[in-house]
Amino acid sequence: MLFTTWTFAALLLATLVVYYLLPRLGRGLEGQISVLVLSSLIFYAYETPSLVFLLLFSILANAYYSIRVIRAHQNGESSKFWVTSAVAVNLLLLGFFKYAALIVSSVLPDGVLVGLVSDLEKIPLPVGISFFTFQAISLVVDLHRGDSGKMTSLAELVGRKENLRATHRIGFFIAFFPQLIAGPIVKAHDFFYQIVAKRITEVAWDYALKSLIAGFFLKMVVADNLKEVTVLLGEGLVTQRIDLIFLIYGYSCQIFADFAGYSLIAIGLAALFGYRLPVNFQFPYISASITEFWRRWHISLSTWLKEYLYFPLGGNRKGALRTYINLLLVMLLGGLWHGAAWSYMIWGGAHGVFLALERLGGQTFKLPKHPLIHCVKVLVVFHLVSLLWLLFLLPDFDKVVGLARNFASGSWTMGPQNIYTVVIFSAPIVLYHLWAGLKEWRPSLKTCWSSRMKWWGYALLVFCIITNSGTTGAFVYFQF
Amino acid sequence: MKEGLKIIWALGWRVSLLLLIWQLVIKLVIKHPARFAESNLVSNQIRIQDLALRGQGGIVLVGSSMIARLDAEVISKNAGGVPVVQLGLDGGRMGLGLSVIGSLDKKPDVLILEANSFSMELSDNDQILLEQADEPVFQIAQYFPPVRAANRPSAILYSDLKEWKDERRWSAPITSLSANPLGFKNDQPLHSPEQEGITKASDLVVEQVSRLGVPWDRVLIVMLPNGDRANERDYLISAELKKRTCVQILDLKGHAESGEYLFTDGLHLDLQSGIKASTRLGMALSDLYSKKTRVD
Repeated sequence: MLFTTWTFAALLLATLVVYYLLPRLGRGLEGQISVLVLSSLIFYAYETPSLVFLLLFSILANAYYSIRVIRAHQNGESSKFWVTSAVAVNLLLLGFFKYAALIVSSVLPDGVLVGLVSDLEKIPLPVGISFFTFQAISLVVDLHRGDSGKMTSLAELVGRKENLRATHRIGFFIAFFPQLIAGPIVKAHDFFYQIVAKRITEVAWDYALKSLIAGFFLKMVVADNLKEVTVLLGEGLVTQRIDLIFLIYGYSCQIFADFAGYSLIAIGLAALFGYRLPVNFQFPYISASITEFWRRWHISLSTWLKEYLYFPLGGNRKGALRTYINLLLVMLLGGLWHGAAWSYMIWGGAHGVFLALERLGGQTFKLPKHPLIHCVKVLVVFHLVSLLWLLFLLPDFDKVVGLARNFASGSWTMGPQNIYTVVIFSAPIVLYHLWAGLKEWRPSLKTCWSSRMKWWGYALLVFCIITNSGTTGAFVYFQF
Repeated sequence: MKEGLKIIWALGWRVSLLLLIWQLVIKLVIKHPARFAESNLVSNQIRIQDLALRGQGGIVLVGSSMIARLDAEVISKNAGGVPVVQLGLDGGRMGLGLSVIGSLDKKPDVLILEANSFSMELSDNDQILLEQADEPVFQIAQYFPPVRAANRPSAILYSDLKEWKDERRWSAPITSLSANPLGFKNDQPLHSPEQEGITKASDLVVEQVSRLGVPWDRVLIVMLPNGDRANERDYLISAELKKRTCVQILDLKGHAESGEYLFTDGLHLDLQSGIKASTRLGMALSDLYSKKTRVD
């Protein structure tokens, strides 16, 4: 179900009403969790009902392993076996549904077991599987590490042998619909302590509505309109160089608006139910290095990779060479997490190489701190990142090669329609980043907007959503 | 809860005021909605909503982006003031236009079919457009002007910029043109190895036009100039339709002098050529139907 549809609006309204009526009817926390779990299952099952069984399987399997890990801790035993099994089950699930066809077709020689490969390719990719699997892994690993300080409620329930209730909460953590399909990836230690009965009087309306408006604006006005022209990049029909350059810029803005928009909507929706989700984007296109870019882009994934993959691999504690290898490995896997295609791996690998090179270069060269040099670095990083997005847009290599060929043989003329669309709809993203860059450069610059002026700004965004939305389209990150 | 309602109220009146101001700006300052848009999809939405908002009757142009280069106002002026609706859909084909007319339950007085796009199959984009015509926003747009595609701020700006760039001169009509005679210019026998396909395509056109209830003597097939393309299949379908019905044919392509029409991309008429073709079409319509066509 898409956030931008009327069906979702109806589900949200019904859920909100029942959710906040329950405490008045004497059904507190458990009732509220039940409502959210039920709505989440409806939300997930809406497009392909059979996939809900996969989600239920994931919930039950992870609940079983989580309870086992907690019990092992309470009995003073090692939980290593249970956590290893849990991670293996989650990775197998992800591997089967997402990578089986790629692995089998890559391992087998051409023409061997063609039927098997084609059968595997027919298995539908469950939406959001990469997201909820990573959340589930974070749950069992956090419990294993003993990070249960913020998850005492879960440990207490298991201690009191209230396994059904514990399963109920784990189901809620994994399936909570605002972030179920495309994140932000919530870590267990950031979420479980928030599970308490909520009252409507405690809702942070200001924060929730601002996030929702900004999110819907980014998705419906910016991303959905840019999508109408960036789709031409995939068709390979554009041969004008200036158009190609603008369309690549347009795609960079589109993917940001699409994903940041989704994250903001998720954050706003969760806030309506009294929960805080982590911020996922911090003006990524003003990054002066790829390292900084990953601190600002899809923050919940990069911190997940850091906490659950980079650090366990040894991080930067095992010497320079090992650090470079770890960086490359983490980014290769991070790339593959996005999709079962070699292009995603190359995309991740390229980012890993840049991260390693920056680390190496940072120790060798020291550039003077000057605003002009900083701006040049920002532009270089933006162009590198934008070029690499092509691997995202066109997972088929032949198309990327075709695009490069079109550019090499193209003319320097331009099509005003494409350029107009890119300029008009990318403008909010450019201004948003410029403003952020300016504020970071001069922290003393504070907005002197009064609260009234701010609401005029948000009203303008709503006006644009009403009058200038594009056609509803799936979020780019749904495919991952 | 109180805080939430307060914020919604603060936002609500501001948004309402902005919408009101925008409508006033369109009516009093800009004075016309967008004719073109920044994307094909929005351009098509504008044309479909325009048809939905018109009453029954009038002349409707159906086809692809080629017929979309004709100017409805110029045609109307030359056809004696009969209202003309442009339903040439960018990236769309005749099948889509006819489906849209059917789904909106409109019955044109005169139907102009572009002979260059006789395909009835609907592409994915066509399906999206058809589905949009059923969406609540489309229905709301009929009663709530701010959500109409032609009132999108980005489309109005684009439309104005395009018209300014094209240096459109509404006050400079092409006066020295004579009307083209109806029918094919060269009645040489055309041969097709796939007669079955031609018959099938013609059957589909007959079926869809008949479903709309427009009499065949009120249907005009127009073959537009489109560069060097041969259009043999389209000529054959037109001939087949002519044989089976009393449809009229205007062959602007066949009657065109060498270099008379110019193209933007080797296929679509440029602005001046579009006006020229529109003038000829308007004159043909005037000769054929003006005395019989109801003016709404």
